[in-house]
Amino acid sequence: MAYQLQYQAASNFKQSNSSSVIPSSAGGTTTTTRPMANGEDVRLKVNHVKSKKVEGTLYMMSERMGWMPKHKGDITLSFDYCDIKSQRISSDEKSKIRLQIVCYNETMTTFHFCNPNGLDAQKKDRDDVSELLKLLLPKFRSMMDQALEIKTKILNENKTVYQLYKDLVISGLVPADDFWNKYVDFDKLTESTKKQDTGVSGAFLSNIRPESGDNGGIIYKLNTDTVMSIFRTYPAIREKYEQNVHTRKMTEADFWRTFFQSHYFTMDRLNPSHSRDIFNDCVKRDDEKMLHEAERASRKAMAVIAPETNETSEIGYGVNEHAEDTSGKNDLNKNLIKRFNFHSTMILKSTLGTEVNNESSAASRAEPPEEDDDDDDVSKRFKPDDDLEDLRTEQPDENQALKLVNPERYLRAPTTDRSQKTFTAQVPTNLKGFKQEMSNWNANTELSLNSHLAHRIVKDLTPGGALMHGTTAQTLSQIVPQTIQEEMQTIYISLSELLRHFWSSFPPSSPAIEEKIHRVHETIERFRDTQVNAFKEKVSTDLLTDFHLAGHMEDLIDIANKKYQQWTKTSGSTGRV
Amino acid sequence: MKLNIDGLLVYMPYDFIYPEQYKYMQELKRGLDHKGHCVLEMPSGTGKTITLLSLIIAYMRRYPDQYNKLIYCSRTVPEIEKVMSEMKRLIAYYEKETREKQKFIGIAMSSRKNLCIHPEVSQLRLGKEVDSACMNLTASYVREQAKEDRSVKTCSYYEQYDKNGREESIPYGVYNLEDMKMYGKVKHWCPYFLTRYILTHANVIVYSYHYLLDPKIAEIISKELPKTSIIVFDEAHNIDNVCIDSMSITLTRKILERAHANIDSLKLIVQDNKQKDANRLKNEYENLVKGLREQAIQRETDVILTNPILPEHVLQENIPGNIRQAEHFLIFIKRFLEYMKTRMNIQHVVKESPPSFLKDLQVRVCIERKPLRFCSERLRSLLRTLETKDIHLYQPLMLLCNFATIISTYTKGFTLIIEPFFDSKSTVYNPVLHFTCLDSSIAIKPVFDRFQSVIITSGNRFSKSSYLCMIDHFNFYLGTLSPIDMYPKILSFTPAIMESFTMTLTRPCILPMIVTRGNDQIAITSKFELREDQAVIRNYGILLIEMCTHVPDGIVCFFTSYTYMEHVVATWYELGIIGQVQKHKLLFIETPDSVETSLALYNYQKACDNGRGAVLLSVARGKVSEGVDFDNHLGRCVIMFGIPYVYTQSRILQARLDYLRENFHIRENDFLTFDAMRHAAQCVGRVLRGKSDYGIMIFADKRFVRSDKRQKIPKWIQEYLSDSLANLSIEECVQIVKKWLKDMAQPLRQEDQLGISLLSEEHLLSNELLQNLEQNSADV
Repeated sequence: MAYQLQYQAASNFKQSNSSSVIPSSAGGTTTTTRPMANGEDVRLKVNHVKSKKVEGTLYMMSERMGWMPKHKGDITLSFDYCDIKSQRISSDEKSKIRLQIVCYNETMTTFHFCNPNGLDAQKKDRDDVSELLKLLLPKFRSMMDQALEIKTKILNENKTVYQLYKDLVISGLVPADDFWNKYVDFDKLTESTKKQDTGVSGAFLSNIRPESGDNGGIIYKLNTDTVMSIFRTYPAIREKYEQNVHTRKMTEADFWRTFFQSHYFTMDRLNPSHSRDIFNDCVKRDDEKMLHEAERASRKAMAVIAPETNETSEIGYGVNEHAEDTSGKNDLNKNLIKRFNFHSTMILKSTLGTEVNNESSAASRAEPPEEDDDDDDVSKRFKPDDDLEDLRTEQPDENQALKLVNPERYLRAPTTDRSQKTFTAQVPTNLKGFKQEMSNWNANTELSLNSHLAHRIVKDLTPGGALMHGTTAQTLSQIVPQTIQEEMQTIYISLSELLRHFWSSFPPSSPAIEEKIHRVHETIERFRDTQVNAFKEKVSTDLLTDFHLAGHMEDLIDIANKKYQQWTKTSGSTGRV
Repeated sequence: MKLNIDGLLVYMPYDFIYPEQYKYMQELKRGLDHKGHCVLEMPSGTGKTITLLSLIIAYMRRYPDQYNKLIYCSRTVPEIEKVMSEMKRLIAYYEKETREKQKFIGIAMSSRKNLCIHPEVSQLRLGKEVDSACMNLTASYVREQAKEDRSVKTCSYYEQYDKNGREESIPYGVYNLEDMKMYGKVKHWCPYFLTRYILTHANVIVYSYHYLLDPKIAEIISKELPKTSIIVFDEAHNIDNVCIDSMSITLTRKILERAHANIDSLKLIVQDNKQKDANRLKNEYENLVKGLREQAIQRETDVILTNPILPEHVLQENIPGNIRQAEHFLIFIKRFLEYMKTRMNIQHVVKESPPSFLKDLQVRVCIERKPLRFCSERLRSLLRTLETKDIHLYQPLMLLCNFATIISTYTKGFTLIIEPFFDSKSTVYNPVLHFTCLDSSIAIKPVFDRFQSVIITSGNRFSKSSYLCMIDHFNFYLGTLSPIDMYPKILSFTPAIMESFTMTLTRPCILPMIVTRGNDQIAITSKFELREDQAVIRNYGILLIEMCTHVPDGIVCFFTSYTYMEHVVATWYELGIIGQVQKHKLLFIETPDSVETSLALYNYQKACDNGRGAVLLSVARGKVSEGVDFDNHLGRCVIMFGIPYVYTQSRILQARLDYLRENFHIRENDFLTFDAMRHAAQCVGRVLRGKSDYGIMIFADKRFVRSDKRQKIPKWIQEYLSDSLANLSIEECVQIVKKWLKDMAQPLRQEDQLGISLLSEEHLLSNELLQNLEQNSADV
């Protein structure tokens, strides 16, 4: 289904050196239904501009351009920048200096610049306008594109929003802007569209494949991606790079050569001992950093990792078996493992770290507070879970169950039921009695029926049991096919939205709202004709006729209708007097 | 919901109940009705804690004259906190339903370190430092001194508590450690001593099972608990180790040196005291003459929990004359120490039983068995008399005295091993003496004897046989022996109820597979002869790479030992396998260093959380395999590289195996296989925590296929390990994984589970379902 989007670009664009402010006015042939703002910044004002042979003034404002005929206080032509597709200017050979605005809805408007000071002044006027437009249009276009894209995405992804949009906006009930502002929770729906950083691949080092060179050497090839990965993962290397390459101490190639020889790249290498290695001091610093990290982590995770270290672990007690050779003969392998852990940690940090940096970029070296929350989370993670979510009833999101004491009253208008009056006197006493009874009641499980017998009785008395021939146990939800149920649901959603609009307009306080009531009523009627009746027909063909599935909807509409009739009658008699 | 368990009204603060929880309650109720001990096993993630609490508290409310106290023993502080929060929920539910404040006190007990609120003392990092600092401020003689001398520091929290704390009773409610500290701060009372005081009248006590099992502290903390208490040991799969550890002692030369220094400093203090205040030592002497009678009287009235270190008949006797005088005792203990030093001076391994040790002792230095038995008691008395500060400095000497007492008291169930080298691989001469308890029931016996109902329960899904093993390494049942025969013979208790529950699942949440060969058809195994083989290691690597490519989020791998893991990782690096793995996931590796491991684990969790995915390489029997759960995305797949046999060259293990063979006729090999499979199951079981979770379990060793191993995989895993999954190559395994993961990724809705793995109140009223349940449990 094709639908049309109307949009308004939100703009926080503001020019500070604006001077004049024009009075607000109702637009004549404006392309939007947006009411005029009270005061707008005028960025350019050009006199002597003709439109359709009438002379007037052209205003360029921050969000739109408008044209006001001479000797009139109204802007009769107005274009939002975001509606303008392009501008055209007359060629220099032509005698008339003109500028044409082409909108997205293919309407074109031509302005003729007729400054009495001559052709050059006219040209200058036109160029001023044109330049400004050139400046503004792309800005609005990108803004608009983005907004449009997001909205399209929302509509595509959310069926209910789309349905509402169809029923409310396309039927002209609600202006598009209002719809987006009031009905759609942008933050919630656009969460997924936020930009995400790409992480560093874990294997960026092993992706650097050595190739054998011409004369027996080995050639490693680096590309910018890999270099960036290295820098992001190991800030220490970036530092070294800046220290050495930027200050011309060594060439870029030399730097990377040493890198490939260092333990960063060849992980199974022992700590470099020759002093020439520029990464020598990095080892120590990295170790310190890891230790610091580890202490922080272990403070939280320790309770999990070493649960047995409690008050009884004194020296000498317990079985100290040294079955496992933990000291290890192979320091090389140990180092290797340490470096793998380090590597992974750094990669993880490069990804997670960016968020932290953005938030507190200039903040001091102290631990960002955000990370601490994180830590709590960790300790909880590995702790045994103390809440059995499975055993709770699943809470339906957002929906609130409607508890109806008296469905009749809900369906019909609230009317006072006379027959009930007689009972009201007894209610308090009854209630008291009940309360007393309840407070004295106690579950006496030992005297209760034994479950087998109880079960048999219940079984006999349930539909299908021995004593219950001839009843059907099927529920409505089992009979009605899924597709019909779904269709019904969508109709209900739209209908209730319409009705909500209808009812919320009462009592009408302004002509605009009265206008709205008429409009909504019309739409409801249309809705009944198109949707409800179609559904009714569909339902009546099947074996579902008995259930009057559309009955309740019709009731709702009828009640609204009645109210409308009532209102038109009273407003007809009293309102116009 | 409210449940009717055989006529007992049980409140349960949830809307639904798992079928196994229901069955668990029924069995538990039967056990309590019989006033007997129970052994119950239920997979973790099925709400064992709340089930236990709900039923027992309901039972205590209904029959207060039968049971009036619940003592809930758990392993770690986080687990204790978890129990407390479940209890809070339960009591809140009671209050909501009955609309009255419950007359109920639930309290958690922990060490001073976790409870202290003294501004300086609580800052100390080590538990024993806190204890010692606290004693320096609160010991009775310190407080006596403080009365006269203003400059002596005391703890204001303790003083306040001592003044007022015992009169005012704490308001009803459930107090976890934090709550206790808050309450202590508000009242300015010491939470630790307040908690210890409240233990006597609380309805439910939650603490670490050291407080009940370790004779060194059980006497202090738990002596006043009434006989009518219900004892629960939760997470009891490690209980045997706690028992053995609490009775085992390791001595090194360094400790002996320090004990020597202790004796010297005590000597000085004694001499000093003699000159200044001879009366004090005299008084002590008088008291000792009167003897331990008082304690004997107390025992008759059943006030004190039996201290296994000090058996009954010892209490009947007085401390022998030759160690009554302080100097005499010090000389005596010094002589013993010198003897120990000469014994430690060896070049070859010595293995001895306690009787032969005692005989040698008598022959060579004329120390009799009887006075030796009183060593620890005598030392305690001396330290008390001398008003020694910084008691923790005397630990080496206390250790030596405890050793003397235990070895002279027990002739059976212990062994003594002296080795010239501290561990098997080192060559530096550093003799060490292991005095190892072989029979874990020694420590737990008093508990069984004293309390009516002891409930041992665990979430580690072991088969019934392993339960017996939990009581004692050796008291377990292997295929040929029936547990019914074994029990009365071996264990010092007879359980009324022994039940093991499996988990009912709506979908096949686990995918156990045995991978036996690589794509090149070369068998994969961690067998000693083959484990260094490049082909095997490469195939292990390929398996890991394949899993990394296909399994989302976290993968955990277990190796058989650190050394093997290091070797494999190095080889993988050379083969470029590590690089391939890193293409898909980040790599973290457990190390022997617990701080480093914490960091690796922390980052592993982070990497899984943010969707990066990670691999954790760790070691069976290591820290990770013991205490960490990998639920949901933290562990979608666990790979067991090889069978984690215990290191068999250890002499302590050999001694245990011998003991086992001689006393219970259990073959060495059976025990080793059993133990290995128990650990494999524990590692693999880490991946599933609850019914909505799912995970792959890969046993990568061809030996797993053999029936002696396969039969020992826990039942709940075996159920899903069909023959078609039992002998796979890597390729086949990958195909199965791919399909299974797609199925599992479908959402799991509550409606689907209802009636099968989840029951509502209505379900419990339907007889058909209950009968089904009965039948299922009969099948199991």
